Amino acid sequence: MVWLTWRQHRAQMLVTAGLLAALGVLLLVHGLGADGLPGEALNARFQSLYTYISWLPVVPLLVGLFWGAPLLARELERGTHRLAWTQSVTRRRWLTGKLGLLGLVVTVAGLALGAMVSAWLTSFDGVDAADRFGDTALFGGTGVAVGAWWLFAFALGAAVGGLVRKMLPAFAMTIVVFVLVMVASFQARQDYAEPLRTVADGPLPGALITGSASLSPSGVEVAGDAVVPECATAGRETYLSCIEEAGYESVLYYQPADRYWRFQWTEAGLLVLLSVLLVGPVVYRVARRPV
Amino acid sequence: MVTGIAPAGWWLFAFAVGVAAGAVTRRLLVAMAVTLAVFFLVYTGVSLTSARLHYAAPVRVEENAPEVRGEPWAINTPGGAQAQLPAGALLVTSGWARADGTAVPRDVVWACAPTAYEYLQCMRDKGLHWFADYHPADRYWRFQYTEAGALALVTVLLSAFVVRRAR
Repeated sequence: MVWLTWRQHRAQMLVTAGLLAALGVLLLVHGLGADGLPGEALNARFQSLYTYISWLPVVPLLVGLFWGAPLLARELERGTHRLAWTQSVTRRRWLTGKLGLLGLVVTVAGLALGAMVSAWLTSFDGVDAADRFGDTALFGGTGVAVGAWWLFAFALGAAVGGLVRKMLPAFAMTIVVFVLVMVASFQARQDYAEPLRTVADGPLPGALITGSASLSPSGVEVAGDAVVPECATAGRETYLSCIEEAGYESVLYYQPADRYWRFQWTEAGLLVLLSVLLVGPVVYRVARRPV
Repeated sequence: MVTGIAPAGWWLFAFAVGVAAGAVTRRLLVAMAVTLAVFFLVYTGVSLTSARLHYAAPVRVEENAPEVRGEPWAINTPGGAQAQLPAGALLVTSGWARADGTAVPRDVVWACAPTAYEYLQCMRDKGLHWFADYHPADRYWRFQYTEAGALALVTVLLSAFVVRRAR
């Protein structure tokens, strides 16, 4: 089973390993070159690569397309499953073996990418934008969540492929569902725990800001997107000084920096659960259906 | 990139790359991977090399006494330089030059920095003048046609290659 999986999927594995190695070298060179740079130059150096790193959330989609979707769809579309499933290995073992082995490889590859990005980030300590918690792309590209994203994309592709049994429709559906889940996760992430509240505090290093409000002297809180009643007539440029004169203080809702790992495990757990829910029924259905 | 007719050029180009990749590799998955890689490389290559800024020779504006609102040395930042240009202009480069037109290195540009409000006077005393190269706003359509045309040309070449191969 291991030999068969390697034999059939070595192209994906080698290409992925090659790309990861190339990215690792790039991150290493870029990170080491940042050593000892002064503030402004360090910031500029970070931004120069961050432009591309900010695309990290889409990378798992490639795994879904090239690892997941063809896994079942290619066999079913070409009819080669008739040969594969009439060998001495049972159909259920063939399915679980392939999905398990490849899922493991994909997860490990995702975790390796996350570890490389995390290591790269440590070179940019004083840079505000190098924020693994507050930054959407970096949160999903570091820690354990990145491994879960890779696994989820793979499971999604495989499940869709087993369901629609044709490659191109499977590709299209994988893209659509993945993008929907990705956007939903961006929205849901800040609600994994009840946010903390702070009044008139300084900067919150490494925290994930989830909302803001203004607090009047009498203790009434006005939401950040609403207009403070005393300043309803103030112009765009005088508004901020007006609410300050009226005695308002700013309120911030945030998730503190030390919740990073808790949130990482929450996201990873949700994605793994979703992966199991996606793949389970498809394995059951494909295993039961007549060849 | 996402307005005007350039997007049509990009869509056409991506389609042609896909067809050519399919014709060469003859395998669905490999063709898709190659198409993604080629498109990504060309697309980022065009942005990375700022190829768009070189579709035409830029217009140069030279000021002996630029008027700057706020901090005078803000003129050395892209935002400050943009403020000197007509609305909608696309800034290519800006800086300081000597009377004979040679550019001034960075450390000389900042040498006058400590005297904030005399900064511009200080630069003038050194015989330097400020300049900026830019594309005026009315070149938008010309640049759109340049980009779309270049992509259409590549599309034609790729298609010709595929047709020739199929014979």
